[in-house]
Amino acid sequence: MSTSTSTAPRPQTGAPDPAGPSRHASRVRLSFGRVLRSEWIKFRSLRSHWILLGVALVLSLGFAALSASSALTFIDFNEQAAQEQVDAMLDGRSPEELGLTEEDVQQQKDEFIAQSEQQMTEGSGLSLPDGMGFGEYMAMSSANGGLQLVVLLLGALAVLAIGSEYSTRSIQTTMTAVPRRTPVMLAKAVVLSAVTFGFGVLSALLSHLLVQPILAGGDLGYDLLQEAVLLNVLAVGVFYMITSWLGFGLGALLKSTTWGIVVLVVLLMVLEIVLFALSFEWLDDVKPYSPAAAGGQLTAMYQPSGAVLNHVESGLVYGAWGLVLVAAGVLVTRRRAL
Amino acid sequence: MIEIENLTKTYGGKTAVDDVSFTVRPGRVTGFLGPNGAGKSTTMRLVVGLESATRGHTRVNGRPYVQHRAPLAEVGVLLDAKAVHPRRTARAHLSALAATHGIPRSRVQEVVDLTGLGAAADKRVGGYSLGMGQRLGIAAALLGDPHTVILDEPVNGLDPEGVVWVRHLAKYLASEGRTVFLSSHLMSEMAQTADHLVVIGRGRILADAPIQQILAGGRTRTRVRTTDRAALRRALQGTDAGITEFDDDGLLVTGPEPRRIAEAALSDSVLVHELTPLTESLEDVYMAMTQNEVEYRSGGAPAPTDPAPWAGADARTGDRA
Repeated sequence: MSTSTSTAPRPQTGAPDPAGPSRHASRVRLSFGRVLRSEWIKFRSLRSHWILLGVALVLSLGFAALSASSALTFIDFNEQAAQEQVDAMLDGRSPEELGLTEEDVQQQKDEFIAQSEQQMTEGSGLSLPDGMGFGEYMAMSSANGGLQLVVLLLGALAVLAIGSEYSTRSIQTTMTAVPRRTPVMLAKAVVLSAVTFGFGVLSALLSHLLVQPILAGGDLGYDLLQEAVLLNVLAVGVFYMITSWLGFGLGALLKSTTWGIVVLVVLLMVLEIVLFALSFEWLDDVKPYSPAAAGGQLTAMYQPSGAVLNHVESGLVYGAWGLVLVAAGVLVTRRRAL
Repeated sequence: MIEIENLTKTYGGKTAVDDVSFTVRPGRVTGFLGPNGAGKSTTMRLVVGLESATRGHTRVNGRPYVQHRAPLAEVGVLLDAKAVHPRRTARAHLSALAATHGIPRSRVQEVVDLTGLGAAADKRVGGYSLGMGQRLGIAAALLGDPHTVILDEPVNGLDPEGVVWVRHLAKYLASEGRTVFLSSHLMSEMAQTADHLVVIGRGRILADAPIQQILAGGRTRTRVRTTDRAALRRALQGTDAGITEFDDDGLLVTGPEPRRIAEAALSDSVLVHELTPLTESLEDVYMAMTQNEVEYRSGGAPAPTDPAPWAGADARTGDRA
C-alpha cells in the first residue's frame, strides 16, 4: 500500500473550485432514474447473478430437450400399442382374408391411436383445440419442461438481490445514500422484473426453437408463430417476473437469503403438495388461488376444461401475491433499523 | 453543521443515547470521544437515519438528513467500512453509489486516487486488508464532495502512514470550511487531530469544549512538596485553594497559580522543595471523566485512576524509593 497520499500536507479533495465544497450541488441530486441506474450497476457487477442466470438457461433448455424426447417416446409407445391392437384383431390372418384393404387397417390403427390419446386428454382434464391430439399437446408443452424448477432459481435470484445486502451489511451504505429507502426498493424490483421477464422470454423462445429438431423425428414439429406459442413465451416471462416479486418481497421481509428461499419453496411447492393432499370440499374453491396453482395456470399451454381462472385471471392472481409481498417488504424496510 | 437536540435512543429497557444535545460546527475538526459502547456509533447512525430516535432531533446543514435532495453532497459518512458486498470491486461499489446522485464517473476516479486505492480499485473488496477497506470507506464518504463529513473510528486498522494521512485529511477538510466529525475511543488520536471535543460516556455528554480547555481542566493544579505541610496549609488560608495531601510530604493544590503558592510559602517561611505545575494529558482527563461511565472494565487491571494522575510520573510507575 505504498501511496503518495500520506505525506502530502494538504491532501487534495479533488475540488479545485475555490467557490467551496458545493461545486456540483445543482446537478448532483437524487432521482428515481439515477437510483434505477445504480441498482442496475449493482446487479450486473456481481458474477453470481450471471452464473445463476446461466445455470437457469442450461436447465431450461436441458429439460425442454428431455421433455421433447419423452413426447416422442409417448408417440412411439402409443403407436406400438395400436399396432398390437391391430395385430390382435387380425389374429394372424392377412387383411384380405377378412375382406379389408391396407387402408382399412391403417385407418383402424389411427383410430386406436386417437382413442388412446383421447383418453389421455380426458384423463388430464384438458380442453384442447379441435383436432389436436395429446401427443401434439405434449410436443408443444415440452418447451416448458423445466419451468417449475427454473422458477425456483429465479425466485432465489430475487431473494439474493436483497438478502445479500443484509448479510453483507451493504444495505447500510445503500440506504445512507438514499435515506428515503423506498426508491431503492422500487428500483431493485424494477431491475429484477426486467431481468427475469427478459430471461423468461428469451429462454422460452430458445426452448421452443430447440425442441423443433428433436420433435421433427416424430413429425411433431409445430408452428412457432401461432398464437398459443407466442402467448406462452409471454406468459413464461410474466411468470418469472412475478416470481421475482415474491422472492424480493420475502427477502426484504425476512432480511435473509436463506429464510427467504425456504419460505419461497414452501409457497411454491410445499403448500401445493399439502393442498393437493387435503380433500376438504371447501378447499376446492381456494386451491386455484394458491401461488403455485395460479402460476401454473398462467403458463399452461392449454387450460383444463373446468378451469376456474383463465390465463389472464390466473396471471392477475399470481401478480397480486407478488405485489402484496413487495408492498409488505417495502413498508417494513422503510421503518426498520438497519 | 450537525445539530443534535435532546437525542435519546432506547433499545428495550436499555438507554444507548440519553438526552444528548450538542452542535458540530464547520471549519474545525470535532472529535467524538468515548469508551466502546458509550453511544458514539448509535448517535452517528441516528444522524444519517439508519435508526430512528426514541426522542429528540438531529439536523445536518439545517435539515433532517432524510429531507436532503442530495444526501451524499451534504454528508459523507463512514460508519462501517465492511458494509460493502465483498464480491464487488471497489470501483463498482463507488460507481453504484455515485449513480444514485448523478455524480460523474470522473469523480469516482478522483476519490480512488485521493484515497490511494489505485490499482486495487478493480479488485474485489473481499480481498482487502482492514486498512484498504477503511480507505474505500473514506473514498465513499468523499464521493459527493460533502459539506459535512462523519467518520466513525476512521483510523481503525490503518497503518501508521494511513493514520497520519487521515489526520491531515481531516484537518484539510476542516480548513476548507467543512464540518468534520470524527469518533474515536483513542484519546491520543483525538489529541492530535481534533480542535474541539465532545466526550460521551454511557450515552451522556460529559464534556463539549475546545480541546485546550479540556486539557487545562478549567483550574490550575500544582504539585507541592514541603517539610511542613501544616504550615503551608495555614499559609494558603485565605486563598481559594483546594488542597489534597498525598505521600508523606505532598500537597496537591488546586486554584492558585504556582507563583502565588511560592509567595505564600516565602512569607510564612515554609520550605518548599518541589513546586510543579501540572499539565494533565488528555488521557488523564478522559480517564477521570469516564471512570464511572465505562460499561465494561477489564477485571484484573488496576483502576485507571489508581494511583492518582497527579501523584507524579514516578509514583505512577511504582518506582519511588
